[in-house]
Parts: sequence; structure tokens; C-alpha cells
Amino acid sequence: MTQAEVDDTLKRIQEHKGVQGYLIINNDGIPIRSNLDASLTQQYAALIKSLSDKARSTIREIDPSNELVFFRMRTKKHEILVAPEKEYTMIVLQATDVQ
Amino acid sequence: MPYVVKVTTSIMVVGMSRSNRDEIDSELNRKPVTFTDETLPVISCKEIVQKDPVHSVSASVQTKFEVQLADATCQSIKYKEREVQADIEEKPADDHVEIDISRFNKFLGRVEPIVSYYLDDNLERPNVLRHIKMRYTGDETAQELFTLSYPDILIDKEIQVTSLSWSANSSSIVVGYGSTSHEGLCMHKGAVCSWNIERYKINPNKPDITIETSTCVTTLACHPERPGIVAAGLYNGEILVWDFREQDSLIARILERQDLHRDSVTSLQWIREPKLSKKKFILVSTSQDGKILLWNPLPSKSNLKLTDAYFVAIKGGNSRSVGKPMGVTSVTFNNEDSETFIFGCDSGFLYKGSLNSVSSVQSREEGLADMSIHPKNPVTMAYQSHDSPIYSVRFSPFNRHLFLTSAHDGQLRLYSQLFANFGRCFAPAQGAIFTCRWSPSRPLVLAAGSEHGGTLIYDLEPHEGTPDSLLLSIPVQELPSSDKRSSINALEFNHKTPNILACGDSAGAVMIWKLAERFTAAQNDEIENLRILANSFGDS
Repeated sequence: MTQAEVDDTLKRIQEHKGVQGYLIINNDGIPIRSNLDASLTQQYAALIKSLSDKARSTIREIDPSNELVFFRMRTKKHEILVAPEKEYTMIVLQATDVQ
Repeated sequence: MPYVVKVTTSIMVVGMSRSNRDEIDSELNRKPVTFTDETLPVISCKEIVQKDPVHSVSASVQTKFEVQLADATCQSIKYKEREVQADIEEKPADDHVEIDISRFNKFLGRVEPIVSYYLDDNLERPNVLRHIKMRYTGDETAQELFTLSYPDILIDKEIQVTSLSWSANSSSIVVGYGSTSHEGLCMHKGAVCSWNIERYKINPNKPDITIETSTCVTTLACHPERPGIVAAGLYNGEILVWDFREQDSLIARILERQDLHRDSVTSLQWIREPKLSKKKFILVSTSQDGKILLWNPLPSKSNLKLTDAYFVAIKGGNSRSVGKPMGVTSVTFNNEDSETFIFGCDSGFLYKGSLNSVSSVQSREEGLADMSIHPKNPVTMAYQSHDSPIYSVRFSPFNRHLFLTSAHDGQLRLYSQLFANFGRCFAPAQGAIFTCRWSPSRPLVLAAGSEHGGTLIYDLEPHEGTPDSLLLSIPVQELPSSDKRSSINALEFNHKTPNILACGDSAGAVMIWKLAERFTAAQNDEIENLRILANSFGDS
């Protein structure tokens, strides 16, 4: 388990068509890996963190035995894919107008 | 810019001298004088006048200098200084946060498949947006462009806007004025006015063209191809055709009195002559006297000539009323099958008719036999009727089967011409619906003019998660009438610029609205959705 493996995985994700960037935050909302610029990273980290917390608690409230695994948001400009886990959350931006 | 001064000077010198006789009167000559008579010979003097030639000199002078203009602007600016400090982090992600690289790697291993799956999934279905629906940007509110009014005719408080029509080039709105309340004879003066809304300067209180009529104008129709030609139906049954570009604008009227409608004309439409040329336009009129008449409106000698006649008689029911005329209020022709039409009646009955009908009319109604063409019975099919007078019937411009009706009972209904029962019905609870129109650009959008609620705009676009039954219940937009109280009697979309909607109300004002983008830009699957809607009617 090395840094190289981590980089490989992230590279594979980045190489998917239409991917504009990715961001991984820890459960405090602090960005750990990002290839977005600084201000976007800060914004996404803070905003997606609170959204995913909200989403997680919504799912829990409906059914305590259930758990949020993944959600995506389609916007006019791109799709935001979010994979929230206990420790880390991965956020990927993909352009939707890819032909 | 150099400025050239040209000076031309003429100097004229005139010299003239004249010889004079000198008289010498000296002291020496003063001595005693002896006078002697003397006769002096007459000496004739020749007067010599010497004339010098006139000298004239012409010279021009040019001064060469440039006009110098200087232009300077000066602005004083006040400066304020503020010091701001922002912490700029060099690195977007914090490498200093302690992470357990193996657990982090496991996390990545878990989420990568699902992220990758959806990233690929998105690419495989770029059309996924079709179902998610792109939402329209910008404002959804309608913008009021003009409120047109003709104060001269509105002195009579009973006068309202009864009808509207856009000219063939869609630049002018033609407005018909009349009253909707009559007890017997019409004592009002009507008018037809026209405003060009594309003019740079438009005076909303002064029409570009005004024509007064002897009685109320009940309906109007502009020629679909020739701008300036307008047909109007009057309360007394007359039909007049004008060409606003002619000096003598009235170009046709009904001269054969026996063919005149015997009651108010309720609707007029120009349709392509379906049988002969298919290019020439004919005029279709409907009336409270139960007749649907076809006219050749542009003949020589300005005589509106009857080309075909249909008569709708009451059937069944009270034996005394059988054969009496059933007032026809609105007619609409099918886009693809130009000989099929749907018409609504004053009684609430709704029928399909055909121009090919040959069945004769069973009626002893006075005057029918005198007409130059014997009227036929047009009815080929009856639809589920409204409970009160139908005001408007309209075929969809995007679907050959769907048509829309509105009636005094406050209901808007959608029918498929294939099925007798209506497919959708909705009642906005805003009183009678005096008029309804399909949007010319969005297949699923329609507008209705209500008695109390202004203009109601409906969008039949299915929304995910909304059951079909709720489909039509709520208008997506309500446009108020000019004084917020009066009813909308007429409304027309502008066909060239479909975001322009004209609404005429009972206060006599015509409001020209500019609708938001969502009411004009069609979704790519909209015609398909309309077709699905039309086909679903048979199942219910």
C-alpha cells in the first residue's frame, strides 16, 4: 500500500472522459487530495461536506439500518459525483456536455 | 479641418476729367471802365469729354489656415485606500493532515468502481439529459410591453375588446371593439383599430388605423398571407373585408341580402380552399343563426360571394324546437385534413363536420330556402358536450387529433377527434373561459382567457413524480387583465415571435405581453409527449 498506488487510482479517475477534477476530503471536511484550484477546493470541500452530512442523516432518519453510499447531482454544466464514507469522501466533477 | 477663405476683390477705377473755362480776375484789370458796345462773335466751344477706359482688376486671395479644435475632459477621482489581506494557500489540499495511507488506499479501492461506473454510465447516455430536462434559464415572469387602448370608442362604457388578430406579417395587432351585452338590437358603435407594435414610436392610446363600424364588431380575422387585409364580422350578421393599404379600404361585403347571417357572426377564419386550387384562401364564418358559411372574399366588384353553406339544426328533444337553428360559436379546421372541422355550439354541443357532407337539412327555418346555395348538414360525429355555451375550439398545431375547447361552464377540455369523450378536463374556477389558444411554438403550452383570473397559461409537460391526473390542474402563469378585474375576451399569440401574446379584456384594453423563454422554446421530445397524451385518451 503505497503512495504510488493512491496516485494510480486517482489518475485512473482523472482519465475518465469528461472528468474536470476530483477532490477527496476527510471527515473533518479538510481536503486531502485535490486537483482543483485552491478556492474551488475550499468551496467544494465545505459545501459538499455539509450536503453529504445532511444526506447521510436523511437516509439514517428514514431507516436507521440504511446508509448513504453514493449520490450524484446533475447540473446544467456538470455532474457532481459524491462517494461519502465514514472517514473520507470522494467528489468528482464530470462535464455533461461531452459529446 | 482646413478652412479656406477665398476673397475676390474687384476694384473699379473710373476717371473722368472735364475742361473748364478759367476766369482770371486780377487787380491789374481794375481801372475806370469805358463801356463800348461790342458785338462779339459767337464762338462755339466744343465740349470735349474724355472718358478713360474702365479699369477693373480681379484678384483672389486664399488664406491657408486650419481650424484647430481642442477637446479635453477632466475628471477628478476620489481615491480611498484600504488594505486587505487575504490568506492564500498555495496548496489546495493539505498534505500535512495525517492520513493512514493504507486505509486511504482501501477507501479508494472501494469507491473507485462505483465512481468509474457512473462516470462511464454518463458518457454512454449523453441523452440522459433529455429525461432530466434542461431547465430554462432566466426569468419566468412575463413582461408587459404595451397596454393599447382607444379612448374615443371607450366613452361608451359597454364597449369591450371582442376580438384580436395579428396581421399576416405579425407586426400589427388588429383589435375589434364591441359590446358583449345586447338585449335585442345593437345600438352601439363598433370599431376596428390597428397598432403596429414594431414601430419605433408607438402611441398606445392612438391606433395607426381606425375604422368605425355601424354595429359591434364580434370577430376579426387577418388574411394569413396578405398584410393589410382584414375581415370583420358584426353583430348584425354582416361581414366586411378591408384592405388597409387601399385608399378606399372596404374591398368586399355581402351584397346578396338573402345570404347574410341573420344573427351575430361568432367567428371568422381564413382557410385554404380545400377542393379546387388549395392555394386560394376562402373565408369561413359561423353565426348564432346556426350557419357555417364559406365565402369567396376577394372577388371582383367587391361582392363577398357565398361558395358553400352549412346549417346546424337542433335534433331531438322538445319537438317544437326540432329544426330550429343551433348557434355555432367557434370552428377549427384540421391541419392535415383540411376538409374536417370541429365546431362548438351555443348549446354546448360539440360536433365534427365535413366540407364533403351532402346530407340535406331538415328544417323549415325561415330564409333557408331563399339562400343562393342550399345549406347542408355538416355533422359527421358528436362529442361529449359542455354544459354551457362553448366559446372556443382549437385544433393543436402540432397534433392532428388533439383539440382544445373552452366554455362558459369554466372548463377547458382536451379531446382527441378519434374519441367522443374528452381526454382531459380542468376547471380553473375563474369563471367562464372565453377563449383558449395553443402556443404556436411549444406543443404542450396553451393559454386561456378567463372571466376572473386574467390569462391563464398551462404547461402540459409531464413532470416526474406528478400523477397524470394533476397534469393540468394548475396554471404555470397568470397574467392579469389591465385593471385586474375585467375578463379576458380575446387572446392571440404572435406567430412570428411566439413569445408575444396579446390579450384583450372587457375594460377595452389590449395588453401585449412578452413571455419568458420557457413558454417559447420547445423541448426536443415535446411533440412526442403531445402524441403520447393524445393517444392516451382512448384508454381512459
